[in-house]
Amino acid sequence: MVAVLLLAWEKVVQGLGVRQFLLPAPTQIVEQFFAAPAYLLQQSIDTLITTALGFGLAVVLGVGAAIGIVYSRFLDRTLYSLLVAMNAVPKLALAPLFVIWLGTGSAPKVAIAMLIAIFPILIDTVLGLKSTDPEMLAMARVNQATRARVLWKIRFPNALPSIFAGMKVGVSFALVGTIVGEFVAGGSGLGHVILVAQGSFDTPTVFVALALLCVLGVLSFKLIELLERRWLKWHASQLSAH
Amino acid sequence: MSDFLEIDRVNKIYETERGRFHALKDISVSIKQGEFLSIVGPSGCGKSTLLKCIAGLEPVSSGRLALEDQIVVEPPRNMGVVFQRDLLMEWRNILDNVLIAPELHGLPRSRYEARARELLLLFGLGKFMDSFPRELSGGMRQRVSICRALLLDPQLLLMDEPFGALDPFTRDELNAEIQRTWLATGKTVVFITHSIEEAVFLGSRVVIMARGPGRIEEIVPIELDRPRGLETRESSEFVAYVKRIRDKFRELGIYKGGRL
Repeated sequence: MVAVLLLAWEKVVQGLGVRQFLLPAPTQIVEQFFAAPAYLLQQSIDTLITTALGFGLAVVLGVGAAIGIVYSRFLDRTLYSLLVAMNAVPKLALAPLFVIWLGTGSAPKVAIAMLIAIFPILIDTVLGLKSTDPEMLAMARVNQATRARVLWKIRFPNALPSIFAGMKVGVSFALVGTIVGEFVAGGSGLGHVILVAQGSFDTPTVFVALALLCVLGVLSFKLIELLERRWLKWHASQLSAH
Repeated sequence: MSDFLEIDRVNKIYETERGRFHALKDISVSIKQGEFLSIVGPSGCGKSTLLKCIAGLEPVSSGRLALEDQIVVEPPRNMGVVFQRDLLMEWRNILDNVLIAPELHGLPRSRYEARARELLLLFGLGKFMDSFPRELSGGMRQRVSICRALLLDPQLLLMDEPFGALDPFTRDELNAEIQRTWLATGKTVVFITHSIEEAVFLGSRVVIMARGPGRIEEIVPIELDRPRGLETRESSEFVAYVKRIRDKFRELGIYKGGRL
């Protein structure tokens, strides 16, 4: 299917004589990659690391905040509303501010990635934790369970399917956040490559970077899916899968 | 000497937006240690509410509810509950589901693992210890839930329509298994059902509850020999008891369309 599309693309570009800087043909994109493979791979790895760090932080902080929100009415009313408000602010607008605060290294990029990725993780974790069957909680109470035991042994495993859903969206957002950070803070990464290439009308390189981004996006999503398939073997959602 | 479980003029009133709902009115029954008490009544008569109060899940609005002379304010230790739904954890295998009971209590698993296996074997689930709940039928799942309630050897066992969702064959089987367990262990059982036959088959006494407001209409002692088997259900004494109780419900106007 993909092969057919690529072939069609190639033919259209060649047949119509489209200029390279408008829409390069697939063969040209591949050529461009092999012109500097080590450099491009290095940038990809940079982006991947920043994404992983931002995502990791988003998971830790997101799940942590969710637990707080579920167990504290005060936090539910304050922290939750604050995060909703913050989410409405486009991170692109915040990015230059982060560079001022955190410098031009990786820190602002990780921060932006984390801020964009945290929201779906937070929302889905809160939903998952709150969706515990009340009768199961009654069963826990008659078994003298403390709140901590209920959280760890019942609420949390029960919430895992939701948390994974949030993580699948979140990891994609973390990648987007990293690119946004790279546009602003620059220096390295695929976002930086795109920016520089655009500036010099080097469209083939832009496409190479985009293709590599797609690969990163798919890889990170698939990784989460793999973990999901291992840890959620018991869940209805996994029964109809391959 | 006061009785094992004392319920004396217990009332439970819920305050809702639509006004006060008198769920339980002046409930009084004294349960002796080792007794099997069946409670039967139509939906809305408060039998599940009563069970929740005994289990310490809901506070009573007035009256005295004491277990071994201690007023029940929170779930007492030494009690097992089997709910209407099996409430198994889909992410744990059968053995781990039974062992969740000591885990939630903060007790070490290892101490109870042998007994958990014994119980599962006793209830015919020996081959399924490593299986997951989704692989089991409704009847098997409810058996797991019974094993879980029995694991810590509670003196009081509460059962809230535990077999309501099961087919009649499985139900009869489980009735026999529960009776066997009770005869072997001498626990005190409070068993809620909406089946008159089940109540008479299992109980030493049957509490007849009515609704509007939830109250005890009558308590019928059941003098049938133990152990009771399938033949018992066909005996004239059994049939007479069931008829007597059904007549009571008829008198109370419970049967309008003929469903309990």
